[in-house]
Amino acid sequence: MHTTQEPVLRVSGLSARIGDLTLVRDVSFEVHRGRTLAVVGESGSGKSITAAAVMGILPPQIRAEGAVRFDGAELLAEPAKRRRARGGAEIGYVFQEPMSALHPLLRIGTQMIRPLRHHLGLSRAQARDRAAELLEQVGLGRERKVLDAHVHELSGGMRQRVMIAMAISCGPRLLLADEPTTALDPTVQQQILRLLARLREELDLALVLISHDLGLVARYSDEVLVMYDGRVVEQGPTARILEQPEQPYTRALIDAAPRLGRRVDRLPTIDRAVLEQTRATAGGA
Amino acid sequence: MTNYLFKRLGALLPTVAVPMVLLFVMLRLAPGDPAAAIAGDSATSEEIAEVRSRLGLDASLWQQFLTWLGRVVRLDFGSSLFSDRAVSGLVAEHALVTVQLTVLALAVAVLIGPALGIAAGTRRHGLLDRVLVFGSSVGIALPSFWLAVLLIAVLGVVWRVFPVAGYVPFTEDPVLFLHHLALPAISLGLLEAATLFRYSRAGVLDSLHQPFVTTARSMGLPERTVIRKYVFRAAVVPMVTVVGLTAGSLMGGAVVTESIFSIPGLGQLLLTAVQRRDYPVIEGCIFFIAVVYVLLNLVIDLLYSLLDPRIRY
Repeated sequence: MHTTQEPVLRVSGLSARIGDLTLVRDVSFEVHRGRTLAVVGESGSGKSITAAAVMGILPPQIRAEGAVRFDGAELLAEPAKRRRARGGAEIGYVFQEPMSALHPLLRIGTQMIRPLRHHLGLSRAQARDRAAELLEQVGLGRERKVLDAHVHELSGGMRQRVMIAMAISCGPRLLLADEPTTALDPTVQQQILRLLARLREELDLALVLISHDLGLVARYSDEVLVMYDGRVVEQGPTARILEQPEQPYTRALIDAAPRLGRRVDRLPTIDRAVLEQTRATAGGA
Repeated sequence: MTNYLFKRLGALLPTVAVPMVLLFVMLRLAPGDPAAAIAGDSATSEEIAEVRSRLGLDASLWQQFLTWLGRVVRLDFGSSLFSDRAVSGLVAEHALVTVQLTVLALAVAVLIGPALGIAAGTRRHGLLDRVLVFGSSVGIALPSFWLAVLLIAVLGVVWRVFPVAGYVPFTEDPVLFLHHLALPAISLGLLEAATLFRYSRAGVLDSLHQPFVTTARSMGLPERTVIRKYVFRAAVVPMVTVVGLTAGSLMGGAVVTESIFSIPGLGQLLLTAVQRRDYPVIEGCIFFIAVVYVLLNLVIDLLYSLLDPRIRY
């Protein structure tokens, strides 16, 4: 395809179960350095579970099976300690709700400094300097005010920038962003996506961008993976998916995206027949 | 902040006034006659009446109330009906002992309860958790005197490690002071530790799966750090309330334990005063306890704003 080198992340046949219930079934994809994969689907389609399974932060009652190869290592076979140690240092994770994903009682600086000291062995002062640089890198200016702030004192956009700064702070090669803009208003959404795209470029990251909004993430991604009901509906290069979607579900998703200047009396919905057909055929496509 | 402080201190007055008035009424309604007690068993009714009028107890209830009110607003509780000692001096002297016992008991509770709570909460349904949960249920159900008597029997009588009763002032001999207060402090502290254990375990369980804890894990921090710096930090705030209220109840409610160990604290002073219908001393004790309670609540609220930056007054 685009590169000959090994992908940073190669997921093959990933499934996630809770008891007898299968939440994610047979998901496969790969992400290369400097590329962005958008994982798109509605609520409950299994996209967040997929990301959490890669990161190793699934709730204990959910079991993941299959293969998750990261830089040549099989993550699902690794002991919990080893997987934990990869967090932050090799794989970064941006959560959907920065308000609840950041500690309400600790200063931003305190929360940023701890992983920096742990992974990079920096002194307190060095880690604080580095945290300030990171905040500047995500567009929060060089002032140290944000470092001394608590999360409730920041705006939604600032919170997500802090979250991103923290996720990239210890030099990960892979960044998983789970609905990073859902809690934000539309203008800020675009800023955050631009920021992620810029960081991917600057840091040569492999980026997995999870969203329910195909129209929003399309222009920031190289490839798209559409999920429904825990299964892959369709995947491929973004341009191809947008122009010639093979599956009716994908087409319906594209049509459902709100467009500027288009007035609608009724919000578009996805036809029930399409959903049933998708449920029956997904995964085999 | 300063505004808030003044408002709260202003609210102190009615908060303390209500129990004081209730106390005045209830004491006069309760059976028992201090005059008869003072005059002695062999006193004639004339002698008792003489004592009663000397104490001003023969006046109408309204007159008594107004005289009482006039003295209370000046914080003048008078003297004990029995020893003629000033109530303020009596209360101060006994309260000092109780404060020391409270501090020691709280130290025991705070050292044991939260640590075990974290240990149990992070090993939910494990053997340790189950043993501790059972133990804390027993601890909460046990009356304090039972544990006190058990400790006396084992550590005081059989092994003779600690004295069974008595009190030595700290200024006289710090070692003996601790030695004498050890058993009462442990018997009070262990039971309070059971309550603190409950709260800290629940707090840990509650915050263990909060998103911000998942974030800390996703950043690759070791579980020990996650528990100590992220989980516990969130669980500690509500525990401040429990510690504060415990301090309040120990200040006023360690009556039984103080009697068992013959510690000359506030509880013992209050108990004796109630038995003898020593009105001024009862009033002085209750006033002190009420003020301590209200002030402790204020301190808790102020601590809250220190521990949780989202709370500002």
